[in-house]
Amino acid sequence: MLILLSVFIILAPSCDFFTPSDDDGKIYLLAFGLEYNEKLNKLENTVLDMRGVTSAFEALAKNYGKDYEIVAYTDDDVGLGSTFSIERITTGGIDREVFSPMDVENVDDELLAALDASFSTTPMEGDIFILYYAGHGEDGTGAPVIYYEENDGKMNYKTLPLRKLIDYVQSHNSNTLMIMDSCYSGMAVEEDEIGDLLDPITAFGNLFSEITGKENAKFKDFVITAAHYNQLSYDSDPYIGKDGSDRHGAFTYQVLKYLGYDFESESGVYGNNNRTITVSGMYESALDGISSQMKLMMMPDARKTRYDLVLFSPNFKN
Amino acid sequence: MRKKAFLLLFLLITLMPVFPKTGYEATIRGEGMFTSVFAPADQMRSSPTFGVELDVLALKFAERHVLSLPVYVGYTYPTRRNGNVRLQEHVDMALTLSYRYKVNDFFHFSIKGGFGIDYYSAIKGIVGKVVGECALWFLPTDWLSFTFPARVSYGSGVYYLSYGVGLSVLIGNKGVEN
Repeated sequence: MLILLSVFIILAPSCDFFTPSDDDGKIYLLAFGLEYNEKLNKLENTVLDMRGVTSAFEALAKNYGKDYEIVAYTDDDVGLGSTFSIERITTGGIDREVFSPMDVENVDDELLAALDASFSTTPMEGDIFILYYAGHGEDGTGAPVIYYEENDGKMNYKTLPLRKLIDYVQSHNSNTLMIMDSCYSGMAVEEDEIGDLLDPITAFGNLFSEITGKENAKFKDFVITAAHYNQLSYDSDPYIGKDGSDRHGAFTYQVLKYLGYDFESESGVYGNNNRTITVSGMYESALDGISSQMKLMMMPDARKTRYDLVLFSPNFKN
Repeated sequence: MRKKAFLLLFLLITLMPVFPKTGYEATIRGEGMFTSVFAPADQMRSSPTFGVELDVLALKFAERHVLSLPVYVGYTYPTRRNGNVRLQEHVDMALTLSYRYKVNDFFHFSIKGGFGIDYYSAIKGIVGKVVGECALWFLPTDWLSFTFPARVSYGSGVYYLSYGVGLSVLIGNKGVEN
């Protein structure tokens, strides 16, 4: 009797009868790929990075049978006669529309509103909203440089304040993930839920967080970045020497590799759906994959949390 | 901290002459448990935990009492998902002060409390935690026992509950008989 009772107690919480499964959600991807021009330190690989990430996620969503919506913002010259465009990437192809702000002073608000309106539905609980950014990060603030224009021979650029971007992403009811590949991108890592291995004092300082009134952990929001808050992010990792490593950012190359991207054809791979793809796996892969020489200059960072976001899984219960 | 550790050791050593029947024993315990996480805003599913506890210097006194400082190392698999989120795999370690009462030759119970850390290898993060545990011991022989531990730990705003079964083997014994 005692043995039967023990078996029941052990198995009960792991049984779906007691904890029913949630339905699988939808993937929303908002991707930025900005290469700028020579006067603004042109970046060689960011547009291909963005194209790679959108292609990889599109293939994964199809492989794992998930619905998806992908919206991209880029300064890739696609013959629209304008520097900036918003793209809506669907199974049928890419719908492009010119982004031309009415009020350059408030271009950040206008852009966020335009991008948000480009999604046909709103992310809900159970969905995953992913922001990917490849472009310049402003020195000192890490703010994405999202707009530029030349006036009287002088280049003016506008940033999207990082606080505003984080608030926008994390305002969604869904789980959220920010993948930031830019200089000083570590600025987006804030409010670690647990301590850093190199900072055990913080870990124990948080021990009685409820008693000390510290805000409880945010479970739904995840952030990984190419570099720490005071580091640059590099356009390629010359020490890797593998196919595609010269065409992609050092960090994004590792992200794409983890996502199963095919660098030879520069596209996501269809048909493979037997892996569980998680945020912690993506971070670990980037940390392990970037060459040791590059890691002296750019060390990937992440919001430290004991939780993990499962992006794709063969069995969504795992 | 060093002062407290010294006082604790001093207490353990001085207990030997205070009680007329003293001795020591060493045990090693392997256990399999299920760990559930009770987070403020959500609840993860349970996950298997496997661990080893080394209790190399347990002080026995007054025939029925055992006091010790066991060290525990365990590994917890990622929990099954609740929605899109799950608890990451992690290694947990704990140092506790344990007290065991021998009801009779066949049945003991123990309680313990202490501190520990969880190390999340993928994200390179650690969580400090306090640990409390009670366990029932069934001893079919004097060197082997089946244990049924139930453990509660707390760190950074989150409670964990673990329970399962363990097998404890006596690897050294001197002084008072079990």
